[in-house]
Amino acid sequence: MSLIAFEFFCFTLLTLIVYYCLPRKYRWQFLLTASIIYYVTACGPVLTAIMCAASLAAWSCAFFMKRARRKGFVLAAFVLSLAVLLMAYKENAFFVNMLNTGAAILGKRRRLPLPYWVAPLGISYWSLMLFSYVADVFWGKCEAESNPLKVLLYTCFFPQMTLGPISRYSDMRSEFFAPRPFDIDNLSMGFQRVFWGLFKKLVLAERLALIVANIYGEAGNGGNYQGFLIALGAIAYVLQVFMDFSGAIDIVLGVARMLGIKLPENFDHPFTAQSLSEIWQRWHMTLGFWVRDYVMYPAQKTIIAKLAKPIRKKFGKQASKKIPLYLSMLVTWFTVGFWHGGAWKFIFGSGLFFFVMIVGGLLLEPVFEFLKRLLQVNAETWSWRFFGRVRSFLLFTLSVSFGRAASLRAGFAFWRRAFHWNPWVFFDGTLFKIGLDGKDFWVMVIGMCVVAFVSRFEMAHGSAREWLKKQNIVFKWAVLFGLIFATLIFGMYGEGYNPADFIYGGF
Amino acid sequence: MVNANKGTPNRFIRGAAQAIIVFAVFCALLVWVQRVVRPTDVHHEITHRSIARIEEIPRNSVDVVFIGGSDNYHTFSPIELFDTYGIASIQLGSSGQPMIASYQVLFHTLKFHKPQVVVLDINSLLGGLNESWTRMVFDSLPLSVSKIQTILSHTKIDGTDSWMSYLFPIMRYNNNWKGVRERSFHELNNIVIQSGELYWHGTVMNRAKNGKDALPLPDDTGEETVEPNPEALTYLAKIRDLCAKNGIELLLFQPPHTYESARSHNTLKAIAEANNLEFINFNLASTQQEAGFDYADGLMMDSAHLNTFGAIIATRYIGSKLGTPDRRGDPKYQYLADDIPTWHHLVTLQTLQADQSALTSYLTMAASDPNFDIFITAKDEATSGMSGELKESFAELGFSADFNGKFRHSYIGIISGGEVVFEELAKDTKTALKHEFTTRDGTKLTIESAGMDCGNKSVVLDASGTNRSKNARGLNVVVYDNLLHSIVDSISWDTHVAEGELTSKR
Repeated sequence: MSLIAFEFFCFTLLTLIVYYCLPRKYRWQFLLTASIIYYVTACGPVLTAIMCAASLAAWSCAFFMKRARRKGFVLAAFVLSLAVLLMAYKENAFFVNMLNTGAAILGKRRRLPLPYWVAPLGISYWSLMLFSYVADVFWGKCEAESNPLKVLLYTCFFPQMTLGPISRYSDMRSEFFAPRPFDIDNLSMGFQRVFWGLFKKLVLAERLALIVANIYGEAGNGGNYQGFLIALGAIAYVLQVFMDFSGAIDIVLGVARMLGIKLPENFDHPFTAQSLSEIWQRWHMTLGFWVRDYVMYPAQKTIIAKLAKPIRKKFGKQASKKIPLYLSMLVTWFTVGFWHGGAWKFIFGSGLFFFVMIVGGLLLEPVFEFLKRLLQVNAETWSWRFFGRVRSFLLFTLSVSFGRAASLRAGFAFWRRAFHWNPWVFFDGTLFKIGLDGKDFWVMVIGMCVVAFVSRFEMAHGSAREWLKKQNIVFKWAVLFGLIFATLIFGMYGEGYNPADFIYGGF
Repeated sequence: MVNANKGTPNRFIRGAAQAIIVFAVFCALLVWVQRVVRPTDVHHEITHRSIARIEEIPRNSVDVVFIGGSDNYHTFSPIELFDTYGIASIQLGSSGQPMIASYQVLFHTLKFHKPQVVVLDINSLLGGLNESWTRMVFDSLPLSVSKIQTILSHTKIDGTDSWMSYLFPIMRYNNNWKGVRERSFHELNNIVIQSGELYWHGTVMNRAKNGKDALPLPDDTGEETVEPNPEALTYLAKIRDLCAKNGIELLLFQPPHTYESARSHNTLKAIAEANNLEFINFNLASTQQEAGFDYADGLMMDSAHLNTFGAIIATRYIGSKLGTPDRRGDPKYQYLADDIPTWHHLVTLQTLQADQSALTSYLTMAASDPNFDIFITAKDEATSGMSGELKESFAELGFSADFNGKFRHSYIGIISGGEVVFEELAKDTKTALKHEFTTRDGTKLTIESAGMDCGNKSVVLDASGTNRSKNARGLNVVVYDNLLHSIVDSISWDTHVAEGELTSKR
């Protein structure tokens, strides 16, 4: 059941009605029931059972950990089994391809077939959430839960399971199990947020997807396009991912808000960032925080603890501080890339961040500082901040663009085609031939201007929805109706209708 | 001391009232938006108008209902039927109307009228599912329990169709906003005009004359059949049962098609017999003979539809079979009687537009209809080919100019409301003529005539400054229709050639 499917909204409506009709103490049980029904409908009883088993395993590890003599062993066993589950279902293609590549290099003819089995819904997200729960209990940050059903709800809360955000049990405890009284504000704000998400997804992301598909082509390597159109394709892809993902998150958070549940934010105006590291503090934030807390910091502590001394002996004090940091960042970025998909294109794209942040951000920092002094750059000006945003955005685009290519090789082929001078494509009508006609193109441009305006507004004044709430009712509803009908009219959903089919069909 | 609870019920009532108002505004906007982004081509428009007419005419004022596809609405004219037999009927055909839509249209009609006969065009029994034609009808029908039931059963059969999108068409037409533009058809006096076709009160009139070489089916059609559409059969049965329940006679009909096959006829005949229903197939030679219908007379608009002239014959034929009361003189049916002059006018118009016969018969027919303003102008040389008979005809129409010896003289003649209102023949060959005329509906036209030696032109300028005259040698005739508020015909006769060789050009 897709987040934009009509069935999902019917399901949500029904859930809302029953949820608020029930006494507060039974509401979390009902949510669990609804989430299980959703899960079974989406992927069948077997995969549901696997998800439940993983949740039960996490609960058991956390609950019995306090009595265990070797807590670390319990944690490690759980992490290992979770990793095996994740690798088996999500990353199996990566390992099989690596084995086949190795076999080819060794001159062997035998190849392993790629396994084609369906993964449990949302495994990429709930596996990280379960890991964070057990790890937090291990580190004493969170009390172990005595009721396994509560952990199960945390695992499979239906709006959240397919796309996140990746929440923490300690944060969600009070949200799920101490429900607040019905508040019309939650309903209203949640509804507005859902439609904002639908607008971004259906009006903008779907249109950007057409441009991206056209420019990348079936081979994912740019097809017949070159020069500025390649760059445009890459930019369109980043914007598509943003509109699609943040739009979906808006729907998820909106539905949760309607239930009176506050989930963590996943995006914080990422394209206002002035550096690449800042983008990652604003883009897919919950993943970033998870990787920081459960990969980077532990890796730093481990690597620093083990390698700091030998490095200091060999390379000096400065190196003993920096090299472990770089190594832990490398592990972090590898994890991020690997998590996105078991393919080298994701790992490479993620690695580019590492490369840019280490080389550009850290190693070359003294050089950049020198240049700034030499050129008398005033870093407080709007122009410098704008430059930072554009630079960050373009570097981010370069890294993310590999994810859309068919493979790492196709990604390189894609960017090789960019080295061609053709700025006239912006003026000679080509823009209306790369996937969208003139009308769709302008709808997309205007829509993105609206999103940019709202983002800019929120940076300056806080939540746009809260601001709108304070306005007069006529203005408020004019804006909301405008959003709703813009989505209904301009949204790209379903097959659409071609009157020409009727005309050509004849009588 | 403030009572903390005092404001709570008021706040709740205020909130509830706001919610109701907002919801009502939302529903109104949704209905409006769905209307705007729905397909607005002429076929959707005329379907919508036909169905709306069910409620517009007086209740229980219909004895016969015509339903079916486009060949149906090209075949039967309710006004012709009333004019000839006094039979009160309504035309509810739509393009490619599938049987499921016919059923729903009939169901809706029976809420407002109690007909005695339903004439059902059963061509759709041999067609497939078509979403466009189904939606065209359903989008025009108001929401009802029956409509929902029919939609649900239809979308179970056609699994690609979504029942929700029938209730909320914007879900289906969500990319139709690109097609929203000024309508491609004109509308004047409730008559829809597009590409020479006239739609009026359910009937579509077309003047094209084709299919002259076609042949009817022999009465002996053999035994072979084709596979009918199962969903259509289901809904034929439902229509049959609905008619039986309401005491209505159901008459199955197939309009003429030049491509019709014996296998189709055998199939439809078998279906009619299986359902114990009378079936008239207008494709059979015997039926056509009985009706006085001959393909050679050019009674087809195209291979599947009758033109206006064929429709008159078919309508009179079916009228002779219906046996329903003559309602002429009954005030309840005055709405049909009031439309008869317009019907005659439109038939005359189409006859004129299709006719390229003699100048005199053309002018006589045009002058007989008081709605026309006729402008006759000469260009180059217009009199040498005028026969004595032609000059006499001119005189009979009311023109008094003496054309004898007026070689290359300019000439303007105007008939309005059946009377000659202006006539001028130049005194010499060097004088060009110009006249400003205002039609009865207030349209200003500029008329000019110039012989060979003084300009050599024939001009009838419309409001946009376009010359609507053929501007050909001889006499140019332009006809303005005060009912349709537009120039409806422009034809010329080369009256320079010898008598007997007069040719017309459109």
